[in-house]
Amino acid sequence: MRDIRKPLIAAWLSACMVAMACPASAQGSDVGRLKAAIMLNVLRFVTVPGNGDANRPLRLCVERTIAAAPDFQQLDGRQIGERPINVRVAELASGAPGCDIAYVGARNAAEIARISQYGLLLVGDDSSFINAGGAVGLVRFGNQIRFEINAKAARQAGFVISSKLMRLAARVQL
Amino acid sequence: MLRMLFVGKLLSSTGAIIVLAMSMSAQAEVVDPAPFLVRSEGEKAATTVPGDRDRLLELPLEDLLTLESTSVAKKRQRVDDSAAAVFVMTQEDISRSTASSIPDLLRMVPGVEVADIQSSATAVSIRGFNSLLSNTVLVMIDGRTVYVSAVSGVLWDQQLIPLSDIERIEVVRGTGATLWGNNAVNGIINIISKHSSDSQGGTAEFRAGTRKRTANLSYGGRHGDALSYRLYASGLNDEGTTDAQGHDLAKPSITGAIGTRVDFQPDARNAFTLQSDYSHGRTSIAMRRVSPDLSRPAYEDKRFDGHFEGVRLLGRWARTQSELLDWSLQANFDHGTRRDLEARMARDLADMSFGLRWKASRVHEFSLGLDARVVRDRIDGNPGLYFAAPAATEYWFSGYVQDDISLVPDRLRLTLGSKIEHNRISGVEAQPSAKLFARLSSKLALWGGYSRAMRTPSRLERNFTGLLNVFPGSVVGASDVPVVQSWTSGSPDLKPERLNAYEMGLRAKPGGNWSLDVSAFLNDYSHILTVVPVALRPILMPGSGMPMALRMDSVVVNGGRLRTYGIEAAISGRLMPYWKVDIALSQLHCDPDASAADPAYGVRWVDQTLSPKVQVNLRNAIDIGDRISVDAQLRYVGELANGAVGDRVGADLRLSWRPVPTVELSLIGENLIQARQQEYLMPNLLRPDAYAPRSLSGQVRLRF
Repeated sequence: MRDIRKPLIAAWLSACMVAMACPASAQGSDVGRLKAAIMLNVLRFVTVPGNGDANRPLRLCVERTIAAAPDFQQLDGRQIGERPINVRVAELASGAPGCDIAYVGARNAAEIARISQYGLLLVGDDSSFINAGGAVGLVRFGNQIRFEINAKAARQAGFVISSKLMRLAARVQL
Repeated sequence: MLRMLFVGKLLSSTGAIIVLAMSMSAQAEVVDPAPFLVRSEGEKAATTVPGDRDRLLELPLEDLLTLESTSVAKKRQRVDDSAAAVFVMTQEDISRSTASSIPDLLRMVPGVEVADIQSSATAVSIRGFNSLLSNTVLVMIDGRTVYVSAVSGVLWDQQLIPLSDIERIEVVRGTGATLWGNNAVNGIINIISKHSSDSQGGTAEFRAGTRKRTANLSYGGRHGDALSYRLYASGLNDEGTTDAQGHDLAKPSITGAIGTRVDFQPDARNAFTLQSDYSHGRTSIAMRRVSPDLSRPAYEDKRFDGHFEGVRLLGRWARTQSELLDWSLQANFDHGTRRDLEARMARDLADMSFGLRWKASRVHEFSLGLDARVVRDRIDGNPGLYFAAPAATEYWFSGYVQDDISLVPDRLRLTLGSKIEHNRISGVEAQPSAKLFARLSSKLALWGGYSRAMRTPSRLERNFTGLLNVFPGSVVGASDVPVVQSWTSGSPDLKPERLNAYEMGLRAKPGGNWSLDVSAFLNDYSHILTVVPVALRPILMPGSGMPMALRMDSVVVNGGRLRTYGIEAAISGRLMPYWKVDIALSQLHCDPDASAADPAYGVRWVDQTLSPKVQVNLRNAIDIGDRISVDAQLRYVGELANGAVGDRVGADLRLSWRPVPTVELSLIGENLIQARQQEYLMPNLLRPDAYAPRSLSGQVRLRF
């Protein structure tokens, strides 16, 4: 036992010496990337109302003024089943024509009502988002991002949300 | 001949240990509740690594929800990249299983042995040594150890967290990855509850069946972006095991708990968690005991009704000092009382621990932990079971230091470290380990290592007296003779049990959603505690001077040596897009201890034949659309005690229907193949054989 312990300690001490000599690099935080990754997963668990063409690209529109917009743009070209995602960054304050899903950031009830339309899944920020009629809210708590679901809003938009997604949601509103 | 018989009968002393094990409540020592899935490695700036963004997008949703947004670029040490045999049970696995308790959940994990003993008493172990006490496994709930050092065991019936509030359970087989904790010799079971912001709104779960009734309620809320909370209550009424004819052995145990978890994250750097719970339960157990009246030696079959009560408080402060340095400080306090077999026990524990991670460079990441703990307990035994000194206070100090050395980035990693522990029994002890992880390709990884661990003898194992046996007249003379047994440490320097463990493993993703995880181990134990009889003398009847009983004194020595080896495999994949299959295989061998033939060897505490040599578990999770799911579990468990408990095949089934996404109705069947099955045996324990019965139940789950 003792014969193996000495080399171990020696190796470890020398490793520590090396550690002191190596510069450490820094990194930045990124809420937007995490939100985009969660959005991609949410899309995997929702059934988008079909217009007959199962392979038609899924159109994800992202509000231009949101800081995370470039992160959402990274989803462009990703596949959901057979359907590729097309990301369009645009001004969505008055509506999101031609979109299947729209990420609109933090919005109040009046704005959500204005943007809402049949066949459009509205995704936004903050815990008030689903209370105000949005379908999926991305909510920050401390350093983590959760999502919440307003099942009624999703249903009214014609979307079917899988029970697995419901189970993983931090909060579900019927 | 007589001596041999005495030695054999002495084994029944373990019964006393079991009894007293029930006296203790949980204790604590660990800071990090999630050692595997969220580990920092700040070597790469997000903007400089093109592949990193893709990696994030590949993560499953369950993992994303536990990632910290300030550390997206930190690579999580995923199970796939750990140099240990790790199995992670997700909430999805939990909610789809038929289990209503944590031990039942653990039946799905390769290398883990679970057996109903009687009523709420369950044996759980990893890689052998199965007994009620689980005395070689460290069990933690949210970073708080529920391993009871005084008796080296876990009280499973007092762990009453609602299963729906569990985020995941990580099971590590082997000692190398168990940085924390005394006595985590054979493995670690780490139960992590959901963050309170993850369980907003209400959840209710009711289950009623032929043997068990459970109710769990949980409600979560929040105040702004920084404060969230959860309140929960759980209740269980369990009729437990039966005799061979199907009659109840004891009264139902009725247990319940209420608890809270509050999380406060005022800024990106600081996170505070406060948890508290109160548990209460009435237990019942059937035992055969020796009549306390020594002048009339006899066994009495008796049902012992007991109860327990416990309060636990935990506070944790986790701080991210920088992208390269984070630490956490945790304090907890437990108070518990328990009455079992007419003995009363009270226990207080205070624990404080500190853990730190420092990414010193691209090559090195250091982890360091310190823990201090004080345990005060008092056990007022019954006339047949008692400690020479009923009250004791013990102090423990432990720590670890570890260096993760990235020899070739993302390819080859060496981990060196050691636990260091000080206590009154063993002084200062180091428990080093060295592990090597090699990723050969995205589809294949290998790991291996050596580690050393120890288990400190519990207070009960060091010093105890009990009236445990009656020797029948046919053996010792004309009339039956009660025997009082006692044991003490054979020498002042009784050593901890030691383990030298050698492990290796392979993880492969052959494609098509299939994964394979194989691990093999060789565990070489030494200094195993054995109990050696040294003196036998009569106890005289007061006044008459006639002998009425015998007293057998024994010493506890480090006399034993054992070697176990085995292999475990987990295979997971999809037969069809809607049909997921998980297979767990484990095989365990134990070499006979050659020195056991020596008359001075004595008797070992745990009988290795009570661990099955072979276990196979097959889980099927089938989705029929989004509303209906079928979950079926088939398992085979090899024989115990050289065939005294036969091998068994069991089947569990859950049929679930979700009329709306927030309501689930299920029909559940457990142990469906036979009317009842014996799962465990204590050959020398004075306890009736117990059988786990078939059961059917219905369950409603609501989210509101």
